[in-house]
Amino acid sequence: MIRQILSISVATWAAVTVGAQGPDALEPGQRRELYKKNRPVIEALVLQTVESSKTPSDHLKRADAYYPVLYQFSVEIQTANQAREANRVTELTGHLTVLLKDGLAPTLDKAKKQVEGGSGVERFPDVKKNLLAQIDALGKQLDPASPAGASLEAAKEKVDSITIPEKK
Amino acid sequence: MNCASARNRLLNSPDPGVVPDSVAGHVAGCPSCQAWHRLLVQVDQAVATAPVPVSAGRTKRRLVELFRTGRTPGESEHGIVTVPSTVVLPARTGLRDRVSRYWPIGLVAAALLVGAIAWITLGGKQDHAAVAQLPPDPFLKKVVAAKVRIDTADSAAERMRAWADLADDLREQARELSRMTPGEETESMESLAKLYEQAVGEDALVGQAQLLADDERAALLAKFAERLADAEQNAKRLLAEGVSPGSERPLKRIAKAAEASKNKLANLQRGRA
Repeated sequence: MIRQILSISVATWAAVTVGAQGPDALEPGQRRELYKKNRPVIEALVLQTVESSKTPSDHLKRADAYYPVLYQFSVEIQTANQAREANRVTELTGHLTVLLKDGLAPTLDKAKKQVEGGSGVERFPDVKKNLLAQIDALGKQLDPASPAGASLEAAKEKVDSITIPEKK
Repeated sequence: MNCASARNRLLNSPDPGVVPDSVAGHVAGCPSCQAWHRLLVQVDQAVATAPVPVSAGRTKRRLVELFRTGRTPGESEHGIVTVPSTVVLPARTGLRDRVSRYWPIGLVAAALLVGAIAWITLGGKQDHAAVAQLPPDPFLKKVVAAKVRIDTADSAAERMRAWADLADDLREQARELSRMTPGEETESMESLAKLYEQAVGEDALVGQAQLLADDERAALLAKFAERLADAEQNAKRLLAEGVSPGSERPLKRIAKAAEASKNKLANLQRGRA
């Protein structure tokens, strides 16, 4: 009897495992659907990076080029929220956090140093204000207690900590 | 009356040689039953004349005991056989026996059932369900990483490498999408072609190449020109192998952009910026 129960348990476990396992790589249909869905964000990312590359030494302009990207992320996160796609919200917020912490914050820091040198000091407050307003708009869509919300808040604080230089 | 009824009555008759009145009419008109009756009479006579072996009555006692108790006289109540029995008992075919005999079939059926339910509920959803539960997009992750890398690069050479990597990712994505169902990929393919043109263009890869110092140009441009040549050849190879109509134009755009940028890098290398 024990042998039979053990056999049934092993067979059941194997059947559930085989039946439930997903493919390792993306299926062609998934790749197509993902590109369709993420195309606006991907286009914004690439095209704004090209814009930013046109002026590699104008860091304030490069920081400003993040605004359309943040806006597009905001639209996509809002759409995903409305569709109750929690996984997608988490995914997009994760990417956004990386962009803010590792992309925008260092760029804004360089911009700060740039304007401290005297160039574009008037524009800096406006650029930063607009970027923070966009991040705030994003933050309102997320539960601050959720991992995504907390992560975005931390990224915002990092951007906000880059202080506006005083006018010389 | 049919043959079976007639033969049963003949068998029940105390003297098979005498045909009862109730079946006499049938037998008289049925050659088959007449032959069968003759055989019956012969068997009856043969049994009567067969020699009977001498017996001490032990076999009879065993048989009677078997019917009364289910055990032969030589078997104890504890199931220990002291005298080998020659009586063959019929196999018991209770529920437990049947279960023990057929459990492997039941096991396979149960496994199939559980597997099917698991596949349907967890892994086998198609179309809309699959789309609704899309996994994270590895391509989006690559593009995000590329943006951060380009934006935080400290040198033109570093930015150039990042642009070249992003261009390769865009081309690879286009290659994958070109295998899709015809008609569904056109917009995506055109989008990827546009982004590829930008990535290898004057404001990105080639633009950064123009910012390189002379020694960097000598060290790097040939390598990047070679990558672009590979990209051009790959796109042309795909076109030659045959792709869906919606992918042709975008792949041609990619091949053309790669070729144009390759030539620009070659010119830069030769000092004709």
